[in-house]
Amino acid sequence: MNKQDLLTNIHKSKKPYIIYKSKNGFDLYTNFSKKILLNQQNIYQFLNQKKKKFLKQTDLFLGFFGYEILNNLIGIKLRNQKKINFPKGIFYKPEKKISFSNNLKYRNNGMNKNNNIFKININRKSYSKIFDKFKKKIKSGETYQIKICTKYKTYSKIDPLDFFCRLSETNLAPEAFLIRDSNYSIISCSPENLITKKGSLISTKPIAGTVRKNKNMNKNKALEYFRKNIKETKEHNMIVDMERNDLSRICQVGSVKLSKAKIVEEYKDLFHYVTLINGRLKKNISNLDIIKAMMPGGSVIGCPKISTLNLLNNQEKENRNIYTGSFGYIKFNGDMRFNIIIRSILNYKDISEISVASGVVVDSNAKNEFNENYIKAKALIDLFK
Amino acid sequence: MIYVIDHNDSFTYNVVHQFSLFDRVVCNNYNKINRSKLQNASVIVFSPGPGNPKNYPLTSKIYKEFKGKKKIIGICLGFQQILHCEGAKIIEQKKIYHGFQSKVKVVNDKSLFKKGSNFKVGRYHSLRLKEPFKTKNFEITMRCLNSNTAMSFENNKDKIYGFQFHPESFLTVNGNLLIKKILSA
Repeated sequence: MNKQDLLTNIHKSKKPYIIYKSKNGFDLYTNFSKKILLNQQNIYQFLNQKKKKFLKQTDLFLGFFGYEILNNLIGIKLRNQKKINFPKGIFYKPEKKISFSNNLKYRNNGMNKNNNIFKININRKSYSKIFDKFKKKIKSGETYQIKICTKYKTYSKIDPLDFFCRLSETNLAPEAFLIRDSNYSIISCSPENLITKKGSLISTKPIAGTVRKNKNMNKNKALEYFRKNIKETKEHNMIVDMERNDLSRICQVGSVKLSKAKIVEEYKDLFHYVTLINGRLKKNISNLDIIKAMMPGGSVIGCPKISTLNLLNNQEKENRNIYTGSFGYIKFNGDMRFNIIIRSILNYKDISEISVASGVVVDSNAKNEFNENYIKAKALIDLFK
Repeated sequence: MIYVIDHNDSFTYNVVHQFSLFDRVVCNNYNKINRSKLQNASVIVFSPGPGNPKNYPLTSKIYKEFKGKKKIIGICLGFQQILHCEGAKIIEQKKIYHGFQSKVKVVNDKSLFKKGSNFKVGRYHSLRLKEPFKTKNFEITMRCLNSNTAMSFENNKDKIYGFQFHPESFLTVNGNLLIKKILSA
């Protein structure tokens, strides 16, 4: 059987499976022997498992932490938010791994794609109000940068693999993933790596700054654009210092370094402004310590983390669910790779939700940020057409 | 030993790493102070943080208790905290500097640093010192080259120092040297 048929067969078998972007293609994991639904009690046990050897390619747990459980881990409670009772986190133990090239081919033309209408949970007017409120908080120093989340929702039955393949064709993101389970699916083209840990080495790669590709915008011009754009530069600087801080909580003194500072990375239809930060872990640091220091990822929250999370959680009326949580894996030997869950569709009980956020800083304006949110969501909304 | 008081900031551990280059550092949250460690420290550092010095009365109390007895260093909010305790007004500024690299100049010949020298520094502050401000033994020693905002003070009699900017930021050039000099003063 060729690989494309294999993919189609697994998909049609109704078995749960996960696809995660690898360096040169995609890895598919399936035949799950364990499924762990995380809660506030068992997460400690899950993260404090004894290290074992990584002997087989399937000696790992793969899954996600939702936004709420990551807040709880650092002692922040979310109150009075509307919930859809989606699990706070799920990890799977696969027994089978299959590698694919970047060229995933699958189409389901039978699905009904009749221009679903998406409802937004914050309209332009209330967005402006929230925006002005946070701007005052910036002037008084309570936060330096804060990211307001808006949600787009629609009722729809979708074929997640069809969505994922079409999305990967237009946007081959380095942290893309798909989870297909019996009652939910997640389709993501996340570009952002939050944790890469191998042995005692750890790195993070925050993105702050995105510009669309067009005829007049090449890599050099993108760099020039970011350097000249004071707002983008300041936002980026702030995230770099914040991520240095989060790594410094768990790394040896003097080991936290910017190995690539403020460079442009080119993707299929956009440029990102990124920095790569490395460190060497202190002795006796557990994976729980690492997750608590780094998550939820700062670049999608704002700065400083604790006071900004509190401001956000008091403002946001709906649970973020997976949005700004992290997806990835923990190998039996303790090595980890996690992304930040952005640019994603959560389909749960046939409701699809797309969350986006953009930053309030002192010199941003409500209209631009509201529109930027829509642009970010549009690439995903377009998949429903 | 250096005792860093963390005001829930996302830059505190950059400060901890920077000071750790020179001595052992203990860092605790401002509302979980370890008294015996605080007593044993030779230097107390007030970290940056969100909000206004008025939000941190516990830190003000520690300042008043140890002023003149231990070396005290304040960074960003910590700088404002010390000045607040000395009777200064801390106010909102029109132009806000978050993630901004500025040039500052040493403007005072009572400074540990050479008068007239320039530094490139990283800034993250909404608030600033309202001037004119004068109090005994405190000298404003650095100012922003563009806005003239007070960027550091020194009290070399009581060994109290403050930076409005962030010596630990990657935007600050030679930040380690600044800290080294203050620590050996």
